[in-house]
Amino acid sequence: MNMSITERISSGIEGLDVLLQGGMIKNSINSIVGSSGTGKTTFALAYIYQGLLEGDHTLYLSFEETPSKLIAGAESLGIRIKDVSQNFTDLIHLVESEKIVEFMTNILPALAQKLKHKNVRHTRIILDPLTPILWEFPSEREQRKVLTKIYQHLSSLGTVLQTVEEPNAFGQTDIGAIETRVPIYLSDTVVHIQNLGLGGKYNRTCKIVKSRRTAHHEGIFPMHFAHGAGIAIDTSSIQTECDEPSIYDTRYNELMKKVKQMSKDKDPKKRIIAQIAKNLLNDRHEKGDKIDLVDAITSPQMLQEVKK
Amino acid sequence: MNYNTGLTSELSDLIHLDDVEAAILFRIDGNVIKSAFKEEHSNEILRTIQWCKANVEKVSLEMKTNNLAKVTYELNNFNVIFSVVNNVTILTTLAIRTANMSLLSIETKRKAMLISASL
Repeated sequence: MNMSITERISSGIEGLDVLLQGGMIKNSINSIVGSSGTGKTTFALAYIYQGLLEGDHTLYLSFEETPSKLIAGAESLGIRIKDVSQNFTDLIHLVESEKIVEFMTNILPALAQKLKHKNVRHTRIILDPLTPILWEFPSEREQRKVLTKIYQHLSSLGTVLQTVEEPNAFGQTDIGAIETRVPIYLSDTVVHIQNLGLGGKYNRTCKIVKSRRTAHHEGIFPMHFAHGAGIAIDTSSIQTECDEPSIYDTRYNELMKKVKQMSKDKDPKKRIIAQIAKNLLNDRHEKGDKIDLVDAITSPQMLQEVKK
Repeated sequence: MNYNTGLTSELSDLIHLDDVEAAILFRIDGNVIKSAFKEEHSNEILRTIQWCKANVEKVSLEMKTNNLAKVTYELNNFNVIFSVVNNVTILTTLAIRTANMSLLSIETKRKAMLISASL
């Protein structure tokens, strides 16, 4: 089977696309498993932000946090959802705990059908966290039945990212726990994130437990919170294996497209900005530096420089 | 220097010693961060490595509790040395039974310090 022809989307998490050989498979179910404070919601926010950058339709279902709290959390990490979405308050939907069962079994399938009829190109769906849904169905058999049905509807609509709480004390880990078994079994891709809480480079790590139809990278990779990207996974240990790292970087390609469009703009200021951004992009390409180009082409300081 | 290149070269240096069969950098929960082996390795050494992976969490907890810098086990015709690198990582060296343990102790301690500095 040729794994490389599968259509993929960028996860928006620095380094994850490299580990997944180019990103998440379109219309797949992806789980982020980790205990409290490991960064699961940040993963979800970076994923939705990437979707907004790429013009995807997005559906973020939060079962715990209010939209304003999530947006504030994203902003504090430099994930500027407000900048790319005008109706940012409509992006995230809070599902109240007493309505979870009704929502998952009736409303969500209906919503999926509605969106299908609207001919939406691609949707990024986030379930954050899936754990309250699992609590509503204590037996594994029931969980499997309900989740299979939900996943069928959702995967026909778009690519799903769900976060799953690992039920352990801080610093301990057990990915095979009963509470995580069913979603892991049914997911196409499972990313396990850990925080041992003892410091050091390998304190926070990321590991691909499984990824169907993908020859994913094995091993554990250091991970850290980064302003702008939300979360960054250090893949320097495998970078040498990639002939052209930039082909895995869809965000880079998207920005290159934007810069190209900008360079054809009637406004001379925008053309100059595009030229500067292009220089920065080429510089990054050669040196492998990490430059946030959204910053580069939208920063007021940069605009002032151009005016000067 | 890239930290990863640093780790690889430190572990490779270690397995170039005649008596050393394998060197593995574990995270304390049993996840392998980096490893290096002599080219020819037997089923026996794989069994010992499996044992190390399964027990590294327990051993590291014991080392932390009792403030031990190094622990040695004799197992399946191998000497297994666990050396603390930092709070989350532990260096495991597998050497043959007849290895010069005094020399190896000094060398693994030195390597643990070098790895700690590169992490």
